[in-house]
Parts: sequence; C-alpha cells; structure tokens
Amino acid sequence: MSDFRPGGLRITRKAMEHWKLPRGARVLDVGCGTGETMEYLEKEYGFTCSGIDLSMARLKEGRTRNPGLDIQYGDGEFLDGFSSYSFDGVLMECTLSLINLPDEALHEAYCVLKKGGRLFVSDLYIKDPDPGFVKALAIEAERQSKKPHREMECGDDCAEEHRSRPSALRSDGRFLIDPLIEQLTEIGYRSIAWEDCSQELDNFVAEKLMRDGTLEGCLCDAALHPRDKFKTGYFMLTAEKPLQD
Amino acid sequence: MEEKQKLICDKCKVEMVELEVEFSYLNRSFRHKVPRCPECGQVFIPEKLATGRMSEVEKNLEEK
Repeated sequence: MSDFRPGGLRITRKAMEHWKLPRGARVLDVGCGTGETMEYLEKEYGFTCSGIDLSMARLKEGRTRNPGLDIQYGDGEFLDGFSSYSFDGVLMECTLSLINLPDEALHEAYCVLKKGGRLFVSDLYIKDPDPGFVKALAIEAERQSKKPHREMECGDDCAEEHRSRPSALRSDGRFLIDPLIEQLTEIGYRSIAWEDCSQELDNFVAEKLMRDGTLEGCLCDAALHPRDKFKTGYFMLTAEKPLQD
Repeated sequence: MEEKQKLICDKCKVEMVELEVEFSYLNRSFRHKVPRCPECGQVFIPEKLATGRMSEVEKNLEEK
C-alpha cells in the first residue's frame, strides 16, 4: 500500500458508494503504485482495472506480486496511450498533488472517461484559506503560466519542484477546494461533490508516529505537522462527465 | 543471545500475543500492535511505548 494514503480503503469504499458503477465497469487508477487498490476493486466490485504510475520500482513490485495486473509506466498528465471515451471511472488517490499540471491531468481524465463516467480524487487541501492568499496565488499562477518551462530546467528534485510550482488550484502540494471545483466545472464535469476526511489524516499521522516514530519519509510531511502553517486537511471528491454535452 | 520474555495474562494465565489494538484519543483513533491476552483482551502497554511514541502521538493530536 502507498506509504501515503490516509484512510486506506475506507475512503475508496466511500467513493465507490457515490460512483455506483456496475460490475464489469472499466476503471483507470492514476498513480496506482503496486496496484493494490486495483486488486481490491476487481475483487469487490467486479471492475476491470488498468493503472499507471511513475515509479518503476512500485510497478515491478506489483507485477511480481500479481503478474495479471494491467499496470504500466505513465503520467496522469499524458493519457494519450488510452482511447477517448474508454473508461467508466478514473481515480486519483493522493496523486493529483504530485502531478506537474493538475488541471491538465483532470482534463486528460475527462477525455478518457465515457459519457456518464465518474472521477474520484482524494488529496490534501488547505482548510479555510485566506481570500487574499487565494487571489495572490491565482495572480502568481497566471504570471508563471506565461513563462515557458523547458526540459532539463529542473534541479535534482524534479518532483518537488513540480509540486511547489504555483497553480491556482494548489499551493505546496495542498489543494484549494473552490478553485479546484471551478476548474472541474470549466473542464465540463458535473455533479461535483466533496467531503472533508481530515480525521483520516489525523489517524494516519498517529499510526505513522506509532509505527515509525517519525513523520519523515511521507510525501509532503510538512503538511502532517501539527504546526503546519496551512492547516492542512484531507478531502475526497467525486464528479461526473455528463451524458450530454 | 537474549531470549524474548514471555508475557502471561495475570487473570487467564495464558501467554499474551502481539495483536493490533485500536486506541482512541481526542476523537481520533489509531491502530498499533501490542501484547494482548487472546482470551480476555487485556492489553499490555510497555513503558517505553507509553512514554515514547504514544506520548508523541498525544502531543501531536493535542496541538492540532
């Protein structure tokens, strides 16, 4: 299981209650890791799952455990390897915060979803952000988006640089709910519903401290610190690609 | 080599085993493996755990 996924499968199960997809539905797991969620969805819900991840080590671990898993190397920002209108569901659990351009990944997911298909996202978010901060972030993101980003410009920690790049939806790996919903609506998603799951984040922190004695080693460990400047929470969100344009 | 000490439940006189236990504090809950009696469910919290990691967790949750 991912080293960073608060709530484990509890949040996944809750999302599946919203999705209400039939057995045999085709589902894409973006950031599938070793494919454990896919195995669970196939077994419990009868879905046919595919998954992509950027970690070769985790993909290898998954293939060794279950050679039948349909998992491959891939980035959520580029889903060109999949046909448009080919999935009934796309999930991104604790993945969107790591993607360079989250708006692009949400758009790609929209493209590969069939009409009536469902999206499920769970990730970190900033609780009650200051309106001035939200506005300043939008201005900075707009300014940065005009600057071209060339290959090889990143330093040693490319993922960290991408995560901290300003986006109107995200700051330091944490999302802003209102701009995120606005972006989803602009892409075309409808029936957008989100809920706070921050208690799962606190439980996750407690379990990690009990097990390892430290929060180090988690992605975005600053967000887990009690004195975190952003008051980070955890959310789950589901949305639908409308049946009619 | 030092032999691992067996813990016996005082009430049931059976050996305690490492089992996952759910702890609750300030409306938050977390699971961790500690020695537990398989019959009556009594748990043993080692002092090192109570004053170390468990105290860290309490502090973390209190500061939230």
